[in-house]
Amino acid sequence: MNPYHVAIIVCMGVVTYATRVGFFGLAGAVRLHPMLRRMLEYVPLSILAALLFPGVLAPAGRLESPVTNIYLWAAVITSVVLVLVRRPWAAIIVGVAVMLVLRRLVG
Amino acid sequence: MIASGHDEAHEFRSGLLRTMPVVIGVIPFGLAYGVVAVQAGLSIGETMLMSLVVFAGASQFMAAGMFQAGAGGPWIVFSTLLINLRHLVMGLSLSSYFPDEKNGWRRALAFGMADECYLVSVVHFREQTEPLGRRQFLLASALLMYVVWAASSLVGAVAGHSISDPLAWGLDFAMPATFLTLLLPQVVSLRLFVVTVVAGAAATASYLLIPGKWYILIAVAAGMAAGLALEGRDGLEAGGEAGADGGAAA
Repeated sequence: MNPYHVAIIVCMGVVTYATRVGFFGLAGAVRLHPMLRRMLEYVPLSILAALLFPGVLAPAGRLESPVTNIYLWAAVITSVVLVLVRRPWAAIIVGVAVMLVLRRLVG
Repeated sequence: MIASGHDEAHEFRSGLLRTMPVVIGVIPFGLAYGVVAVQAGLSIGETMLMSLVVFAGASQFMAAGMFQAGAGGPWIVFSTLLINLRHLVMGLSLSSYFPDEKNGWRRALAFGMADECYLVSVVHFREQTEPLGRRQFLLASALLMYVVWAASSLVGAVAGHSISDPLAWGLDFAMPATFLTLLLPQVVSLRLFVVTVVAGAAATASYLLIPGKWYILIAVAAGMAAGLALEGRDGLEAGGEAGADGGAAA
């Protein structure tokens, strides 16, 4: 291993861990303002939306027409299965299967 | 004591179970990272070291690209820091579920706070009648993720060119599909629906328009602002309801 590369990688690890431990590892010491506490309630939902929407609406890095976007169709079918069956596993399996079929048909 | 031991084992098992679909979705990304890193000129050992020490997919993909482009070390490290600033908000959000946890545990668990583990865990905690953190759940989620991420990076690095675009298999859809099944049950009020749409729209717009990985932080800011604005409009009775919504979703 190239020592320069190893040094860079270790520093990357250090800064990454610093951001993870920053507010979580030291949390006991801080008392949060009630308004901040309320705002934090929206963080998980916002991160979920941020990881989901761009990947589904713009899978190739640009906005796609909803009609030809197989990611959007697979997402719609996954949602319908989840609402009907109420089993996350079933919805995920159907979603991936639909994706495989759509890829075969379209691609 | 027996009851609590049973409870911990149960939480550990549910952590593994709930994280399973996400790690299946992560495998193609791990393979792709291994391939990309080796092609960028990193050795198999260096490729693995990064998966084991950094354990953050987006930064690792970015670093591989920067190594290939011949970027300087400090610039790679600084970019890693910028990409990972979102962890600060996630850590703060997670800390509210672990008010009485020992600092040692929190510092250990923090290492495993990958996006996916954070999301699966927080959604699980919110589904409980008493929305408290379970360290065994987060631990199981992070361990499973860590092992799968390392193993798939290794296979990608060793197999290199002989794997043809793992991201085109369709398996990669397991991740968005899991996020969808985590998200939908959370959207139990008009306010949370608006928060989701605003955060999603802000994320998509900034993903398309702003280079880098700022879109997650921008979406979080937009989502928090939208939620708070709607609380203000809904008046006092809305106070603290966001917390109750999570419980009702179970």
